[in-house]
Amino acid sequence: MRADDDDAGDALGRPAASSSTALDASARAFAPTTRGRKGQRADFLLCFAPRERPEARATRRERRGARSEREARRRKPRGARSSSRALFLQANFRFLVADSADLRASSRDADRMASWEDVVRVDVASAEAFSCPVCLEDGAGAIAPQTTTCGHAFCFPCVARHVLTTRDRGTPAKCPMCFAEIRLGDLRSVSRRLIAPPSAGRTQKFALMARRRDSNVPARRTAKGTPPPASEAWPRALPDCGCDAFAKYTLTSEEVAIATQELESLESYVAVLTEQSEIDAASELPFALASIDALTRRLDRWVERRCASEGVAAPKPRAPPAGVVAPTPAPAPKSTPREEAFPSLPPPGKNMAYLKGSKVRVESAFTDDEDEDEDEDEESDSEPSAEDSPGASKREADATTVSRRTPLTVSTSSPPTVAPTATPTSDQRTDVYYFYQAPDGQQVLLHGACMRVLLEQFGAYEALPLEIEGTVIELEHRTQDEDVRRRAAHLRHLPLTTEFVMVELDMKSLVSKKVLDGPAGSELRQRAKRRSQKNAAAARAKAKEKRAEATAKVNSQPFAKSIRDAMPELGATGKLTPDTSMDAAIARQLAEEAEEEMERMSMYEEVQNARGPGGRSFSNIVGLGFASGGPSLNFNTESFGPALGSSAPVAPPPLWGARAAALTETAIEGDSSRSGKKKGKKQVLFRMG
Amino acid sequence: MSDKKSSLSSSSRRIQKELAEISLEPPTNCSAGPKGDNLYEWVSTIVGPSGSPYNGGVFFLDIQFPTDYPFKPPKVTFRTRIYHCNVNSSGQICLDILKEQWSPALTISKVLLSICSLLTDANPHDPLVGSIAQQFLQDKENHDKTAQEWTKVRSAEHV
Repeated sequence: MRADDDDAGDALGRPAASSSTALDASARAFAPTTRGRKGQRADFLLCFAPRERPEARATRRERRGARSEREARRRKPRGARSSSRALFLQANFRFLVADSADLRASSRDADRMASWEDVVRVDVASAEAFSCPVCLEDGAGAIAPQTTTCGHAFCFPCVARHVLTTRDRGTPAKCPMCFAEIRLGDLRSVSRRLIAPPSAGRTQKFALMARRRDSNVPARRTAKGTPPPASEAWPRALPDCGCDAFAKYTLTSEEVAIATQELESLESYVAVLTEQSEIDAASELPFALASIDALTRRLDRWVERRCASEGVAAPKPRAPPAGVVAPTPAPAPKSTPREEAFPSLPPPGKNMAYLKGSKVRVESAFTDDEDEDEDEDEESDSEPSAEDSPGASKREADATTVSRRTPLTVSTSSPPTVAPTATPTSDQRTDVYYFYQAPDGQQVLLHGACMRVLLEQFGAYEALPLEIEGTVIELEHRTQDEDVRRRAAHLRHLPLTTEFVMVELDMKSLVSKKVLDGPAGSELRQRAKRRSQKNAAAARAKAKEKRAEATAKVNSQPFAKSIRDAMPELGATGKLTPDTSMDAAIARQLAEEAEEEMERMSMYEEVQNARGPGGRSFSNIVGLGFASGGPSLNFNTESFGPALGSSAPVAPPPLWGARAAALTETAIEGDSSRSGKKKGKKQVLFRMG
Repeated sequence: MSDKKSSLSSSSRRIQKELAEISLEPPTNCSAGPKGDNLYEWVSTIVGPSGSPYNGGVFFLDIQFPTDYPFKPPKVTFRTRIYHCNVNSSGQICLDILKEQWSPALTISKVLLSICSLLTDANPHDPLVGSIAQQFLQDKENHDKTAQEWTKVRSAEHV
């Protein structure tokens, strides 16, 4: 954790990341490097590894398009960090977008994000259920999960409390996960789709997808012959308001209903809190109400926009069909006075009246600290945007009106049809790219080599089966970049930084043997060959590692060292060279035994090579060792010391012989399968003790 | 959700979840749990990480959770004397994530992990005990020697 120790932080961060949720995992790649004032890093503890910043790009303010002046002034340009985060967010998540949104630019440019203001809900595909990192509640325990613009999700009351607590301290609120600046107004609802990521050896389904060359909207082929969607024909939401699994944007006209539903869940949470008369509940209530307040504001904005866009498209109360989204003058509705936009208003509903009450309470809760009374009189609140209570009730009333006026347009749900006005007939004949993708919408794509044999089998893209299934052989994790875009035209609709997986299936059950053995299957055969080579190499490396480990273990055993420590005096006599001295002999002997042990475990030939031609047996080591010792070496313990002493000025420590022999004994006893000859020699050595 | 939320305050719910997690998967060399009946008062032990001069020592720490945890950081102090430039004689720790860099997404097991890493890599550029930091920078050998001695002697006795 030193200031200059970047790698330590990463090293700690990465293993933890594997267990994090998908949101965290995805944010990992584009999270900023966050350093404390004191130079230490805290972010490695938050389960992601930082990456290099890309060069400065457009600020979020620019990307988001037109915003009111007030907001623009309050918002500082946030530069490169938020940019890369937003890029990652838009590349890997799906968005439910109000159908009044202007998606023309985003339709043309795959990397361009729709205005955040139009985003109704963010859809996250994840292998794990949602768990709030602040309260650690998961599943049903999480309350109205919201995502920040950096892609981290929290319970609404949790993030509201965090934002308000830090604001109290006079610092701008930062995302608890990545320390990006966050605002309550920028939060969006988040839904999570559980997915099963592919893994080798498991069965994986694929659906045939088609995308026109000039369009960024991929669509699942439902029947042969139906043309793929045109460039702006984003799919519409299903009746349950679910996002389309494949397209980046799904259009909905139900944003008000969705927000209202979320409000209800927050309301019930508040109801539970108010039932409790404990002090604990009292401390949480203000933040629950703050989240209701933030959500109400969001709802207000949507009602406003919805009404404005409906007003523009006056003769048609129903939303225009997908693909021919009327070019909505986005900034215009903002400036329209509310009274003009809603000439006639029905009386506020009961539900909304409650909301209004709670809204007033939010304000009072923050100013007076402890106002627990639910039946508060409806005073005008003191918001900076100068909205008064009657205005609020009007808008809330509109929420219900609008949702009544725009029923679910089930008829225009998937598959998206080509809007007749938007597509000239000539365009329909333009190139269509076909590819296979996991039917649950994960960016899991069939490998090109598999595609080629399928194409050979079925003759044409049009004839390909709508769904295939097979065993996964190999996975390749990739990230969309300019290089991939250049080489794989059919994947150009994936925004930069999208993470996707190329899957190679076992094609044996899908195509005939003739095709697999033919020229079309050559790539698959090459891949199989490379795989087997790789596996063999890995096995060899593993065996080698095992051997090295065993040798190291032998060398590190304490007795080998103690023998070596005891021996130099012998070498110093000049009669025994270090190479042929006793400790070398014993060490070699031990190493050899270990090697022979391994020989049985792993490859015989390799061990032979390592030993070198002829190898070294115990007998020749012993022979060498004691032959060079000459006649002056006596194996009798009594005469050993004096004999040595007579030939060398330095007497050996009295214990060395006993120690070495005892150790040798244990080494020898471990191996009783030796030949009789060897054993005889060992006996000689053994007698030393 | 309502029944789950009914009985306890959010801070105690979260502390209980952390307790369950830390008992199930304690971070390397660390353990922690409540002192007694009070869920907000914990005691923790950290075993000196190998490769550091604190290797072999057992350090006791007190953890005190605020009532608005996790929106405020927990107070963590060493109860065992330690010769470390970021820990003073009363056991206070100089660690940014326990102060201004606190995030409600941090958990006590991550904090303990962070303290462990502070034992391995002290931060002498932001010291709490200047003299130790100076020695750390100028005479690392003697610093480590003293730290080792302190670890041997003091690791058994509490502050």
